[in-house]
Amino acid sequence: MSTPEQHDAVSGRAPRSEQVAPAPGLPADPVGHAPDAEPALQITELAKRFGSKIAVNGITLSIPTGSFYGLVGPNGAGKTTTLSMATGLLRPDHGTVAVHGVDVWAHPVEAKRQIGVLGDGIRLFDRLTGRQLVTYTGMLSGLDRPVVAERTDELLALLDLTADAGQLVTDYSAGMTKKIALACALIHAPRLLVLDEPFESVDPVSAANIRDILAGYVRGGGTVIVSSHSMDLVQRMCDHVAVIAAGRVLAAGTTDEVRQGQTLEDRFVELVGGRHSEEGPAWLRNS
Amino acid sequence: MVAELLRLRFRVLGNTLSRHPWQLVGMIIGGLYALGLLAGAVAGLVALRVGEGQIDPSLRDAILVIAGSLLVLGWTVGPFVRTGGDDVLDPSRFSHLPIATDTLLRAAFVATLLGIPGIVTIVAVLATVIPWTVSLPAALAALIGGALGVVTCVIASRVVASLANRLAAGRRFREVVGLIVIVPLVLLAPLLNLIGAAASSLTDLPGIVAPVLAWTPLGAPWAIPADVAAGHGGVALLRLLLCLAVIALLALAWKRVTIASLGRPATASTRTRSRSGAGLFDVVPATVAGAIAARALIYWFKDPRYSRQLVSVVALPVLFLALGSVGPSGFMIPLAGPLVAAMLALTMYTDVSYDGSAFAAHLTRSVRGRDDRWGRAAAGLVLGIPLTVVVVVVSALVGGDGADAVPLLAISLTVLFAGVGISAVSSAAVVMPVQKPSDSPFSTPPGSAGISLLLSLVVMVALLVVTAPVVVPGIIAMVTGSTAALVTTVVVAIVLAPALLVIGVVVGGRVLDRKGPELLARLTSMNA
Repeated sequence: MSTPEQHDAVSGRAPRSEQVAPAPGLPADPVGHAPDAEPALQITELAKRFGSKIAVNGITLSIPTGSFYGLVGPNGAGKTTTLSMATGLLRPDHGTVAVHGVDVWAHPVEAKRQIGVLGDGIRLFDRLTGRQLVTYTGMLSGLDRPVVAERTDELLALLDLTADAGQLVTDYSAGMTKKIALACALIHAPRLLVLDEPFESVDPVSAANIRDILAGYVRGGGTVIVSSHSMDLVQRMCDHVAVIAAGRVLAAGTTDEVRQGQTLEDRFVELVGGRHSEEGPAWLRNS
Repeated sequence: MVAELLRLRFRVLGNTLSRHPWQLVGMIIGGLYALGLLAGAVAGLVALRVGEGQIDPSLRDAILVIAGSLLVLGWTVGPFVRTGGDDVLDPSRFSHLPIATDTLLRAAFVATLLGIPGIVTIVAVLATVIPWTVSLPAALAALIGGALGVVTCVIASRVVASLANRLAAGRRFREVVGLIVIVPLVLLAPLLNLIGAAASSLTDLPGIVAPVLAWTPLGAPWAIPADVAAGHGGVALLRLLLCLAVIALLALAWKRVTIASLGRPATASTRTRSRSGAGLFDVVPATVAGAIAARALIYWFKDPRYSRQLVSVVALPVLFLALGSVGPSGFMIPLAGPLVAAMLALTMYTDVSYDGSAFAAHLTRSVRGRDDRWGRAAAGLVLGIPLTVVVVVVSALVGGDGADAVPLLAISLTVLFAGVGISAVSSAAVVMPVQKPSDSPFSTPPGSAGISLLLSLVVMVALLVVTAPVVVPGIIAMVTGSTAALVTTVVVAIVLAPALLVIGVVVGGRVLDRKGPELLARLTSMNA
């Protein structure tokens, strides 16, 4: 398993940068995020209402450039809604989103050029083969044909999909579908990757490979935001984390700041609440 | 338990409709359509009763048996066309719950009976008692026969639906079956016309067909009252037994199929051949619109929802030509060209709806609306132009008037270009509830039939209006042979057709640019 080196790759630098630069805007730190003071993604006062239900209720988040940012929250917390608004897929009722200083809703073309998106529960054009789907996305991004062909080959190889590149995506397994969607999100070399539940139904080996790819991407100067239900994964992988529930931010900052010495899972439950101590109704006990 | 399941079925329908008011509108339109059919049927039955004495009784009997047989036949092939919301009670959905199969079947039976088609059938069958109010025994026999007929209808349709769903387990297989079944269904109405036209020359056809049908499961229930009215009690009893036996067999078959499908849920996938290269994407111009055109073209052939429509579009003119070349329907031949152009263009109004949330790919890559529209339009034209030209040339050859080819071509191509233009606007503005690509070809989301009826009517009228400047002189040219009219047709077509296309693409593109996220929100909520 690649977990140990994984751990090193991420946590080996994350704690250091946190200690040296506890808050953005302080004097430069040679290794960490401070050289680029402008956040990769600045979400300000974002809000969205669906009918009578307020899905996102004034979320403000600053995602530093070069960070590996985890977004965690219970089901229905507003994670997907927030990420949809941040990537220009869902028009916010209130608030602004800026990617590297470019307002997503005022200048969508310039902003979206810098974002790669992997949506959760979003259909793909799955009657294309894997290779065709990645090629299609590349061409939609306005890339030249040779560039698209070269990058498609490299991405398919990177994600172990070369052998299945000629198969229709509709016949892919759930994990393969996530991987091909990730290839589509990467083809235009974005500066910011927004991944909604990228590890759901992905097998452990593929998940480890994807983590490696993402860690390499962050080392290369990119910024990654992932939403996930796996606290363990987020704690190991991400150097920053935000906990949101009921459309609000409960805590945000470096992973160590947020978890305050506890495991992220314990801290999460403490923040969100909702645990009960009973063992369940009596009739459920068989003995 | 049956009542619980029924409540569930109507709750699901109610929730669907309250979330998507347009589907409710569609249901209402479908209901009105059904009411119209019902009113016609009842009026006919009343006329049979009022005309008692003037109508030859054997003709009356024959009419009732044939109409009844068509009803049963309709229910039997119905699942191939649509199963409406009845899939909610598909027994395989309950396989994880401890509910007896018999209970599930009873619930599905009653649920089917209480849908719009079921209620309409019940009322129509009750109305068949009207002609038999001549005597009490005959009326009672009509009531019993009718009840048996309705039960046969419902169970037969459920058996066929279960079988179809079971057979349709594999993706590839399901898609091919869907294609094969759809073609005769598309052609059903014109075929019936053809048969009807042939039959009208044989005036005694009902008299020959009806007695035969009366001894089949299709016609037997409807022949019982005639037997009773004529005093043939023994024959009536025999038919009654036939009906009961058929129902028992159907019920048994239904149970068998259901139990078999509970153990093996309908999921399977097949692998397709491996291939290097990006196919069509390597051929089209390396632009955003080019990529979209390639994607759309691939979908016309690879996505069963598109390919079914494509097959229908090709099959229809073939039938028109065949019909026109025999018998008195010669006027249909010149219609083939414009018709194929209009149908092809109008099938594109569901384009974005078919994308569903996959449309997000265009939004995340901030594809310009104009590129999106050009790409899809180009795919439609690449298919449509050769198809239209071939159909027009063939129709001119079959019709034997080569001179008509030029105005017909002008009209047909204008219809095609204008239709593609109109679809470029309407598919950006209206999201329809549609099947998912993986859905059974035999399923339709509730209310979608009514909506598409309404929308295609609107689009058709718009198409007629905008193409009138070419169609009118074109018809004059064909009828009078006037050279001036011919020149006018061609010149106006050359100017108007591209202009309408460009206007459609530009307007549709603007709508997309402005309302892209809202469109995606509607797509996600409606077609996931």
